[in-house]
Amino acid sequence: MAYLDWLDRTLQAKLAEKPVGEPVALRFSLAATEDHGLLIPALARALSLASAWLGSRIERLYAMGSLHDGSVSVLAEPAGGQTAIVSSELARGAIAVRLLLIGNHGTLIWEDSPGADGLKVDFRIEGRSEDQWLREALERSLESGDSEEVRRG
Amino acid sequence: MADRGQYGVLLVTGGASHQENYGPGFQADPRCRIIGVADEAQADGRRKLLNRSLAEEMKVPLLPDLDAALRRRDVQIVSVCTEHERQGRVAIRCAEAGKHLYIDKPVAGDLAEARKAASIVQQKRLRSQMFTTLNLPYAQRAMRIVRSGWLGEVRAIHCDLMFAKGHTGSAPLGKARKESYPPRRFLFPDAKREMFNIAVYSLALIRWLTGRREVRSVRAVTGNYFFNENVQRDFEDFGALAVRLDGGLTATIMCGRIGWMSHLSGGHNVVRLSGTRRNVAIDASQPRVEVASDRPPWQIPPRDPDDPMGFWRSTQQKAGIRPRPEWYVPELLPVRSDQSLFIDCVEQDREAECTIADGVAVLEVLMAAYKSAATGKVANLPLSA
Repeated sequence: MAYLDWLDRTLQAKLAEKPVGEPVALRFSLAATEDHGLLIPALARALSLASAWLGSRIERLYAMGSLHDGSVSVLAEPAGGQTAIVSSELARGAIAVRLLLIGNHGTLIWEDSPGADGLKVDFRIEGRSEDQWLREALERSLESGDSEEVRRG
Repeated sequence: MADRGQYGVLLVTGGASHQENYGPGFQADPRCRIIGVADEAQADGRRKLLNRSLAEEMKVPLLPDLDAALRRRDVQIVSVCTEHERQGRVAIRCAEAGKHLYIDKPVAGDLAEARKAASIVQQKRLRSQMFTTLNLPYAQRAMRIVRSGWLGEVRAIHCDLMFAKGHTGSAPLGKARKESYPPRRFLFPDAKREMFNIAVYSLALIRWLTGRREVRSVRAVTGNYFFNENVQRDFEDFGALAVRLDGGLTATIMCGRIGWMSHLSGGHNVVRLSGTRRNVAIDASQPRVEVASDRPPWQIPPRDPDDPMGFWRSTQQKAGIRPRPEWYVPELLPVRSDQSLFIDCVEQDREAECTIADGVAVLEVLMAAYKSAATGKVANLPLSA
C-alpha cells in the first residue's frame, strides 16, 4: 500500500473515534519528492486528504510559491468553515510528513520521516478524480495570484 | 541616565495586561528603577483599580496623571502596555515627551497612530522596542541556522503558534466566520482578537529571520472554532495567513488560542524553514524530557470570571496553575529578558531587533490580513494611509 493511502486509512480510523472533537483546522506539510514536476500533484493529493480528514470539501483555495524554488503552499477553505494550510516541498534528501490536526477539543499530530531508517517506502503520488479539480484550482490560483474556487465536473 | 546611575522606568498601565510581566522584567534589571505606574487621567474605574493593584504588588508609586508623570525628569524609559484601542495615542504622548519607548505587541490598534508614534521616535532619535519572542531559544536557534547557510537560501517559512489556554467547545461550528475591516476593538476581559494577538509574534520572527524583508501581499482567513466568548464579542479565536515577501519568499502562519488540553506544554510552536539545500523544523518544545507515570494527572484550571481565557500572569498565579508534568523542556540557550535587551539598546545607543518601526510594518500586515479575511481576496501592501 502506498504510504499516503496507509496514512489516510490510519487517520480516518482514529478520527472516527472523535478524539479531538470536531476537526476545525489542519496544517499538513509534505516534503515527499525530489522532482519539481511532482510538487503540484503531491499538493493536490495532500489537499484531497486534508479535505477528507476535515470532513468537508474544499471550496476555495489560494496557492503561492514556486516550482523552481521547490516550495508551494496553499490556504484552503472547506465548505464547513474549517481552515487548512497545506504545503508541498522538495524532500532535499529527507522525506518528511508533518501534520497538525486541530479539533475543537484537542489536537492530533503526525510526524514521520519515511525512509529515514533505510527501508524502502512506497511514496507514490497517485491521482484521484477529486485531485484533478484541486489541481486545476491550484494552477489557476498560482497563475492569478489570488483565491480561486474549486470547480468540479 | 537617572539618579543613582539607573534608568527611570515609567510603567504605563498596570494589572491585567502584559505589564505584569514587563514591569517585573525591568525591576529585575539592576540598571533600572521603577518610577511608578501611570495612566491617562480618563482611564476607567476598572483600569484604575488594576493599575493600583500592580503598583502595590511591585511596591512602587501609583501616578494617576500620565502627563505629569511624563514631565518628570527622572523618567527616561516608558513601558507602554495599554489596551490596544488607546495604545497608539498613549505611545504618541510618551514619544512626544522624549521618552525611550518599550511597547506591547502589536504596537497599536490604529495604523495611522502607530505610524505617527514611530515617526516621532525617529525624529527625536529615541530608542524603541516592541515585545517579541525573538530572545527565546527557538527563535535564536532559527536565526543561527539561517545565518549558518546550512539551509542554502531560505525560500519559505512556516510558523504554527497556538496558545494552549481557555475552556473550549462552546463555539458553534459549521460556517465560515464573517470578518470585518478595519478592526476597531481588540480586547475585552473575556476575549481577545487572537490573530492580532498571536500572529504578531510569527510576523516579527519572519521579518527578523529574513533581514526585514517587506511583505508585499497577504491572504488570510479567520475562524471562531473554540470559544463562545469570542463569538459574542465578534473576535476571531483562530487565524491563518499566507504571505508573500520581497524576492519571492513565501510564509504561512497558523495561530490561535485553542484550549487548555490542546498541548502538553504551553502550546504548539513550530517553525519550519525551507531552503534551497535543506529543510528544517524547529519545535520550541524539543528537545524535551517526557515523563509517563502514575502521578495525578494535570487538571484544567477552573474558569476565573475575571479572566476566563487565562490571559494574565496574576490570575494564573491566583488559580495556582502549575506547568504540566508530562514534558520538561530544558533551556537550550541562555535567555535574557526582553526588557534587559532593550536596556542594552538604550545604554549602547543602538537599534533593537524589533523597533517600533518594525512593529508598524508588522501591524500593517495584520491589518492587511483582516482586510483579506473580510474581502476574501489577497490584500496588497503597502496599505493606503
